[in-house]
Amino acid sequence: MNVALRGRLVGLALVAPLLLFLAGFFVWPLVTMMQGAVSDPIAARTLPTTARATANWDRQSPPTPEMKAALAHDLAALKQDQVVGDLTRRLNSAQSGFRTLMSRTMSAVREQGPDVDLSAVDKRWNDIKFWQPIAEAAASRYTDRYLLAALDMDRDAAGDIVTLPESQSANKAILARTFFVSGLVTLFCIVIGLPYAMLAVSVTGWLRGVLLAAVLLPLWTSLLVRTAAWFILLQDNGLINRGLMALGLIDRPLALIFNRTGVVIAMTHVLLPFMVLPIFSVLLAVPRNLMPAAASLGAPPLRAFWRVLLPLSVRGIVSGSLLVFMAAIGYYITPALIGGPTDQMISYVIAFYATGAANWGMAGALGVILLVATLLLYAVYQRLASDKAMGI
Amino acid sequence: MTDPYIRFDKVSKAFGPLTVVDDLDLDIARGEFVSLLGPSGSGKTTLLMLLAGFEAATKGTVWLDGKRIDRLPPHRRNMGVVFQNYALFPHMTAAENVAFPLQMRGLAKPDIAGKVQRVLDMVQLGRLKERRPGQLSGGQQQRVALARALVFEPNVILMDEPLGALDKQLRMQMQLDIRDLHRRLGLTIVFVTHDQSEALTMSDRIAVFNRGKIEQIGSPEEIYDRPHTRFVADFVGETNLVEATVETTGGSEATVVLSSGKRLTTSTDMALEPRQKVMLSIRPERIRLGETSAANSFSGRIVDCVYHGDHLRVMLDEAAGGLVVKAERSGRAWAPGDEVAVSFTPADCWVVG
Amino acid sequence: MKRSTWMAATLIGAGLLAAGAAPASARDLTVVSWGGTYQDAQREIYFKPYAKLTGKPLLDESWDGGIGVVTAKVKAGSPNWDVVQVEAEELALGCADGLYEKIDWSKIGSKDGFLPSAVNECGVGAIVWSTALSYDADKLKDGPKSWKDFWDTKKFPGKRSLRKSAKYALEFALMADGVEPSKVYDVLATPAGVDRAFKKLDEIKSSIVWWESGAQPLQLLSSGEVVMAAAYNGRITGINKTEKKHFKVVWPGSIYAVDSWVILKGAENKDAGLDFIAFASKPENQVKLPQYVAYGLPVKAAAKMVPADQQADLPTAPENLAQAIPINVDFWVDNSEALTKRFNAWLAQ
Repeated sequence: MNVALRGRLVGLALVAPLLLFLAGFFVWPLVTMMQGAVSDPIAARTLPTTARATANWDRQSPPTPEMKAALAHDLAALKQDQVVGDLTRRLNSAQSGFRTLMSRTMSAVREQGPDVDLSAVDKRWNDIKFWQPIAEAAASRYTDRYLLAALDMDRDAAGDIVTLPESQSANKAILARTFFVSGLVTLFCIVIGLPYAMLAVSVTGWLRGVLLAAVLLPLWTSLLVRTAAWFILLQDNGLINRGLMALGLIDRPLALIFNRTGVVIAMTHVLLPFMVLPIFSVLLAVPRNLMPAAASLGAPPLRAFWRVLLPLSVRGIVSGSLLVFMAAIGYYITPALIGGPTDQMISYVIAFYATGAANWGMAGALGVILLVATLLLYAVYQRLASDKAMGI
Repeated sequence: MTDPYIRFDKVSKAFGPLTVVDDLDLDIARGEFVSLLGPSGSGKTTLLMLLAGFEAATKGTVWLDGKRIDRLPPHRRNMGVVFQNYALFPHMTAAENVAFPLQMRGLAKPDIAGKVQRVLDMVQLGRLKERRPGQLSGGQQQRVALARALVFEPNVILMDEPLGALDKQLRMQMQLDIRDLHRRLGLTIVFVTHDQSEALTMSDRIAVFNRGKIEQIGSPEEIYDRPHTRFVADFVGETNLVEATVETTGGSEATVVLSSGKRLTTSTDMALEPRQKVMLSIRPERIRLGETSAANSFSGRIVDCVYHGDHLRVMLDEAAGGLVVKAERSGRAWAPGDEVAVSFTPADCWVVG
Repeated sequence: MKRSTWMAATLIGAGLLAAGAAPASARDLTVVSWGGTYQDAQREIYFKPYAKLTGKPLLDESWDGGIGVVTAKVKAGSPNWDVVQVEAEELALGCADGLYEKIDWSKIGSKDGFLPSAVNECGVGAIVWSTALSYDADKLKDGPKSWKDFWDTKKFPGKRSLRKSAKYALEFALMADGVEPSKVYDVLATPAGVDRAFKKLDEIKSSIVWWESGAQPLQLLSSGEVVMAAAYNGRITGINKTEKKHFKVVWPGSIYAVDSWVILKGAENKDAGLDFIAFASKPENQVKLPQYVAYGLPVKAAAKMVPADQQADLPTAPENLAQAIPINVDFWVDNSEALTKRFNAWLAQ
């Protein structure tokens, strides 16, 4: 018993670095992101009096003097610039104009004290448009507005959920496009990667080394360099177009760049190793005499491939597809540089909110939606895959 | 002999500079069980691959039933191949594996099911047909492979060291089973092995391979008792090889002199010349100790004596040609140092050239 | 291995880890700018001379902007950057949010010595730069004169390139639609004005190649992928000089802005940072900039010392300023997030 316990402790000590790593670099950021997507504490924390004053406000009638006094009182109590900044950013993201309104109001409050008349500072304080976000934000420490916005929805003045027109918000379309492009890239990776892996398995010695190195090479070069190289190849008077024109195959340049064709080509190239390597390793374990066996049993090459080699490659294709698809979902530099405006992927939007707008709630919400959508897809996929009963 | 069923006509196969099969002729009759026996690298497996169509001959032609087949792709040769390590499809059950060649031939589903059941019953695997290869023992996998090669009633069954991975008991059982199937179904079987006892047990004829050529082809008895070359004598079974010089010849017998001056009467099927240097093959189990009855007899001293369970291995001194003898246990108890009489018949003293 | 050896190995390992993880004693002054040839120039005229003067090393890094980056650095505590060059909008946002140290102007010099837009409680102006219409004079003899021409795909067939942001794109669209440059922000402040700008952008949407980094529009012009582009003026003059191109800057309708030096809140080297900013604001140092990149100088005394031939390429030259407008920082501070969201949605359609 003692020995067993000790063994277990030693085992635990051995995996402890891994557990710590997972907790610190995987679980914690994930939880933070999910929390960030729904937590909205800043207004509730900084505007307690206002929260009480607006609790019973119907959000349609003009703001009352009590509400204004409460807000002025709360604002006067704010001493830290960064807290004011957080509050302003939160309110401005719900209603444009809060930036200037708040900076004007803050300097007035700091000069004249909490008894200042807000309407006199800026007439926008008479507009319910600016009070609705305050009332909503101050009411609760949690919010669904980021998640709603991530799905192109919003709450109207009455608090009902409304869908925004596509000209205002296109997250769902971008999300769908992200999955579509990733799926397309995965498909192309299979179409190219499977024969490639088979070829690499069938040869030996230096030839195999060269084939594998050729597919691994993109992994050893910087993403930006690779993308720039595609830029040079694919542009209107780039190598490919000039070559095709010199051969007389086309008389006008093909549109290969700033559209989806270019994005799919470049992403397929970058992600190909993640398809080839799993298939390669699975095929390597397949006995070499199965294809001759199939032939001797009367199977022509194509049917032998279909009935024997393909089913045996499935596990490699499955794991390769997962790797490629998951990696593709997160791409945004390649679509940004090589794609057109209608080829941007969801990571681009997330990056905008995270670094451009410092709106981490929105970035987190989009991340959560992406995560959920991916997990759903994965679940569907698992079902399909297990139905095939690949119990080898 | 009527036209052979399978014919290799001056077939060569080279991999780059390396010639593996060298200008080889071989005829096999319908219903014959022929073993290709030889050390690894002797070209026997390559010849099988040429017959199955997995390799293309560099030179020469291959014929089956009067038709040239060396240009035919393997899937159109209608040969059942049993591979080393069986080459069963791991993602299919035993029944699916066996059904595969029938599906390739476009048989109707009910016909397939019936045939699969029958052939699996024949190899005593009817109960395990829903298992995948990974869930079967080595012997069971071997039977599935056999069933799969038999089920479509091919022209020829080719077997590439099919029993190599089995343990000894199972191997012997399978040898008998395969020989039985061969007789029962009248199959034509080409069987590659490097195990001489396997070849001797099962074959109608054995072709002994060495360096891409057939050294000798014949019945097991011919190969064992009347080897043509020193290589065949040495490779098939155990033997004493002794140098000698021909003194006189006459018909199928000859008198030779050993370097020790001893005179022996030997049998041969070669035309020998006096003073020709030859090699004699004397099988250890054919030598009698303590008897002087046979034509060749002399005495020697025992150098060593090793207990082998069913027999004793007795090593004789140089004066007795350094012969190794397999002595029966039931005979006298021999000990090193004993003077002993050694004898064997002319028929058991064979000139191998 | 024996137990004692294990112990020794563990101790050595732990020691190495501790040495590696120990806080580096006093980080060197770190200055962050926009990279590329511009930062190369800054390195020659500011970073190296300053390091030589003080005898202490100066690290320079580059970034691509984004208030989120600054916010993340400051909120994480003890940022690893000291002095950062930011755009006007980042200056305003960050200053309001308390992300920057307040500037002690007594250490810098008289506020009157600077252009008014270069003086801020959180920042000191570093350059004046323009986003302007540009084209390759070698390929287009009679080039575009205005944003109206930029929209005229009949007269100038081919693709054109704009920066992928609501900022600039909307202003240029309104100018192309006939709005006086000085009235652009008044129109854009109304919902109808925003709709009008997007409608105008719709007209040439299929002909636009959007760029994101400042080097791209010049590549696109060089390769002939586009016939004209909105580009940063300093980059245009730079490529004319280095690659012997004849790219023209169309000054009317250009939008200029001031970039400023700021010091991140809680920066370890904030005093050294302020001293560096003062060094970079000395007229005799600043005047060297235009010979590398054609950016205007916010220090009036320095601007006066620039030789006439270089003067003509600067956004601050009076004839270039005449029909240009300054970026409206307040407008973009208020509306950036909402308009960017709409812009992205519009792009995605």
